[in-house]
Amino acid sequence: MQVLKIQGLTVDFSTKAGIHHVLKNVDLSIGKGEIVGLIGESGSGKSTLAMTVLDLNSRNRIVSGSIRFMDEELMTLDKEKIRKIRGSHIGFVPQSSMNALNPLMRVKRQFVETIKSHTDMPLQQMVELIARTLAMVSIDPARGDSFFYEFSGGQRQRLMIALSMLLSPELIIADEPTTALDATVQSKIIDLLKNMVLQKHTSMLVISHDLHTISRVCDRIYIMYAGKIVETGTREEILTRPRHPYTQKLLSSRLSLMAEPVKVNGIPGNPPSVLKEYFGCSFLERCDRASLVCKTEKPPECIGNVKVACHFEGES
Amino acid sequence: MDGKRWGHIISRGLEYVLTFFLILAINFFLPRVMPGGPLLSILGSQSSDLPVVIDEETKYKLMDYYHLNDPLHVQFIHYLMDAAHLDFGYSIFYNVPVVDIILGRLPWTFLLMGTALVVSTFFGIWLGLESAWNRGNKLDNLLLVIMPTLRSVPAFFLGALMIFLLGYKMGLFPVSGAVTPYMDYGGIADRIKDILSHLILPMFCLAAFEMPGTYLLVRNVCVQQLERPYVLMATARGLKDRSIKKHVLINSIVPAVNQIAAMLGFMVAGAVFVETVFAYPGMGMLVYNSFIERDYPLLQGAFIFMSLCVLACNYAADIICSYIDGRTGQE
Repeated sequence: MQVLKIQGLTVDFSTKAGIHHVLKNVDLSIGKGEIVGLIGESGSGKSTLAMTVLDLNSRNRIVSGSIRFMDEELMTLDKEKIRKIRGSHIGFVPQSSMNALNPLMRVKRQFVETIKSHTDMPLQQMVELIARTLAMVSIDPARGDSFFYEFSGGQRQRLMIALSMLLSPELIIADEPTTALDATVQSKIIDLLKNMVLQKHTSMLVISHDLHTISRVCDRIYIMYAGKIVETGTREEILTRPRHPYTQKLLSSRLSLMAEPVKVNGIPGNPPSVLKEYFGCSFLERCDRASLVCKTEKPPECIGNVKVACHFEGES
Repeated sequence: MDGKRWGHIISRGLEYVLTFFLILAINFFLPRVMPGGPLLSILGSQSSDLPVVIDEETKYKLMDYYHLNDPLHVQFIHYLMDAAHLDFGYSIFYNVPVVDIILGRLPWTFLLMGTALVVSTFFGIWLGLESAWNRGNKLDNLLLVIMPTLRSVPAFFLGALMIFLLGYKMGLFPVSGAVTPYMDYGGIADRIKDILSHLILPMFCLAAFEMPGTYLLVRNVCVQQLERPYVLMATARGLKDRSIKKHVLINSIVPAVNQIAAMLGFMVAGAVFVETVFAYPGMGMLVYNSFIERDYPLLQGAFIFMSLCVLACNYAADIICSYIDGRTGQE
């Protein structure tokens, strides 16, 4: 059974500037115990995907498709049922953990409050659960009486990981869990996430723009570009045999830690506007291999057995 | 942490003591830089309708009796000593000690302004939060029209309207005063009922004057808070709407409490109008009447007491805020 199965998810936002086409026909699935990476550059729609699964962005949203979580369709659930799933069955590690908890309430109280919103548990048991979870992320349970701003950046991220795992959810969604941290803390947090997933027997969707940092812990990877999945595969497939031109470019834009200045092979150009509809391939303007067919025809969609959304797939 | 908080509270307290000292000083020096002298204002000048003719020697003796021939700084020290003993002189109009009059009026003002403050703060915060929570939809838009409109209606007009409609036409409430004169109360319950029925109209009038400011402030602060990451995260960890509102409120209450305390001065001004319209025997009406009667000692005494009250409320707000937000005074 799949823990999460997203099919044909299309999300638009209507604003005064027009309709923003953010996600276009996205298919994504996560199996039990799997760690799945969702990689893409800023504005590609990664966070929107996470927010849509948790129904955190319902303002001005137009949505179609299907999101099945543990064989239950989330799109048709009422607000109260979604609320009960959030936090207890799907944990969320936010993009910016810096201000992710109320600064005026002690951390432990906010942990207690999270448990109370989902289950009835005697206080003693809650305190033990919190202490156990905090110990798992190497934070002294005695510090639960501190305020959130009294922790360092890395500690705050670990607190958020502990909070997301508190009720042993079936799925964790980590939205850019390492972005705000420095390189050494980043790898620690990634390892911690992996350990927690193993210990708690859960699954995880990790969202990042940083293919190199995240890929280390992922079983499978989805590459997203301009609201579409352009390539998917196991970690080995993506890292060693990238097939979509975008994935190839992402991999070659690696910045190695070297003392002498190096030239980084970035990707020229900008991602396309979410306001426009594209008739051809949306990567067209930035692609080295682009030809006439890319302009006139849409590339295949990354659905079912199709793993790469490119016209030239299978040719080279 | 608690030591820091006490340090903060004490240093704020000293600032308020200094402010109060400055107010006393202004209160002392301002009349002395104005043209004319104390005798002139009491006895009238040669050109006034009923000039009291006194010779120079009597004048000097009188000035001497009131220590008005002393140098200014000596007079100021005398003034401070008297103020410390709550001696603000005699009212020209009533000819009784100023402090006695003020102490008789203060309870009524505390009752009126206190209840109005509680009512306006409660509804202002509640409506502000709900408005921000439902920002952009009907309730919010409606309140955004009603509140500024309410604010633009002058308090004396609203008061007169209430007296006419609710007091005179419908006869629901007494139209003036704080108690029914010469009434025999059957018991304490009757007395309380009488006081409350007199209180309701002026209280709502003053609250209506005060509430829009609180509402607009709380709404704006809450709208800002709702965009904060901790609110998104609160939703993401499955908290109920009620709990999320609580989080937002805790974070909005500090600026709200500070602002409400800072606006107390305006409320005092509002109270002058409201008390005059309803003939409510509080400080506001006292100030109004003593101004009409040029009763300067009483006016000065009333100002000092009112500034003392406003300062005390601000200090209380500071202390409350330092308990809500542990970061206050730590930077």
